[in-house]
Amino acid sequence: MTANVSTPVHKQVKAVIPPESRAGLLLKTFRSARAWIVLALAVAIWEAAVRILDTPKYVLPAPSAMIVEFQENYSLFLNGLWATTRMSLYGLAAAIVIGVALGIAMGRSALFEELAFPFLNIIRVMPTIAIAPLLIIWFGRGGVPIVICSCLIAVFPIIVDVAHGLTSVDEDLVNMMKLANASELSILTQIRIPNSLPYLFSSFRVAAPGAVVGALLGEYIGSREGLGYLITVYSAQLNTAAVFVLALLSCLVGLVFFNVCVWLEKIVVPWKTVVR
Amino acid sequence: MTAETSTSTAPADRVDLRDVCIVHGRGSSAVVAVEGVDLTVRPREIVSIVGHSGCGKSTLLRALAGLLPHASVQGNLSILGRSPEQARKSGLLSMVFQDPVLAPWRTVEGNIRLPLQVARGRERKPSKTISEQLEVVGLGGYEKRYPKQLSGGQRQRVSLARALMMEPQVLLMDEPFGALDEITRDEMHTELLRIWGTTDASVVVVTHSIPEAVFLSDRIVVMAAHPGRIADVVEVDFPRPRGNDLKDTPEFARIAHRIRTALEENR
Repeated sequence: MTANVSTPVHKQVKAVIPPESRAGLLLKTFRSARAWIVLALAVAIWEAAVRILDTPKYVLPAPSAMIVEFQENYSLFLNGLWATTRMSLYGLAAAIVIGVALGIAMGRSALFEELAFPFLNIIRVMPTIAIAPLLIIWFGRGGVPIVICSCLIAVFPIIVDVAHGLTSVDEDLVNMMKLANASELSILTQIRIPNSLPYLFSSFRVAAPGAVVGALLGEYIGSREGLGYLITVYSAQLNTAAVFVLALLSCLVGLVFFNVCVWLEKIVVPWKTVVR
Repeated sequence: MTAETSTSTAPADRVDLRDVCIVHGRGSSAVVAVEGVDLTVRPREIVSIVGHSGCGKSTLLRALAGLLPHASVQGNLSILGRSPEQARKSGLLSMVFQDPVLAPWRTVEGNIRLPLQVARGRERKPSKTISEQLEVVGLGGYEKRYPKQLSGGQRQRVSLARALMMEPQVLLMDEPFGALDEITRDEMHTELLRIWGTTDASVVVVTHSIPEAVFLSDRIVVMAAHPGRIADVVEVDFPRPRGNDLKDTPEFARIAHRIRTALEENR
């Protein structure tokens, strides 16, 4: 909440405002960095422990071994990274199109919601890993089953939140519009759609990392490229360091997807009030 | 009960309710929310409706606004000689709700413009600009702010400005200050009376604050519940303009006491 600008400070205040101390500043810097310090410490302990205990490389590789692994095979890894990113983007795009369409249908039509809900619920609770082999039988190895897996995981939060966003309008805001003799179309474009945008964007925050998980899963089950595929290859070779690298790269994709959504949300819906 | 001789044609200068009943639902699950209400709101009059929760006072106000399903309202309900739906289409009505119900994605200015922007068939140009209207409610210079940046009282002022921008003949208010703190509420009372003095609107206020009703009104309608009906009508003839000092006078306390008694007798 911003201060009320219409009440300027007339008088010099009597209270003494203590200056910021050097120790205080140092403490502030430490506080803002402490999570990173702890992370760095954990990595250091890991490295030291592996070296001291001399654990076999295929059980737990040292962080330094992962760096070496990455340096040796980085073009292969980065190709995989790019393939997974692409599949996730396609999956997310499909999920957005389908999710928004179904969400609008469910939010605007009680009948559609009643009829479609059981089907959607069955698909939602069915583990994607159980459907993935079927998808490969139907569509063969390649991009299509991967994109479908990715879309399956990403689409549900979008459907639910779009439907919710359209129905959770303050009734009195709609009444105010009716009193002004507004058309149903005006109420939709001026009230219901803007009202649902924060819900839509918060659903992206859940859907986007989900799309990455789905794509990885699809690649894992049947593909010749992508991080998921590389994980199967390297784990079969017991190259644990490479598997760790690939897992970290997968995290990276998910994190980037998530943060792009957070950033978009801040730009598109700066008024956002919904908290999930 | 207001005992006025019923006229065959509804008067074109006032809000007139004759034997209004409101029934929700049908068959065995039907509920009679309001029963046999007769009420007239004269031009430039402020009428308060007070009553316990569930006495149908908000329902009655929503019937006046034409927001209830047509089938649930029985009897004659006329706003300046028209049905609520016609009155709404002619832009005679505005409403202020308990919550400010502002669109958070619009600035203060955008919120006030919204009803004007969507009003179909409206030819009347507002006589004030949005900035002038904001001056009237004491928010000059706040055009570009977002609702989130305002206090509760300021938001309700924006909501009032939005309603006034439509230049209604009848202003309906549903517990408009119920969500505000006592100090802000007192301030809003005098503000509302000052602003009302500059318009020619009749005002119907639903409230459950007895002092609020006494301070604002020319007449107070006390409603009883189960089914909702008018139990008493109290005239309040304090001269205007009224200041907050009025609330400390014995006359004020006497009227407030009478309302309280009427409410207790009709639990």
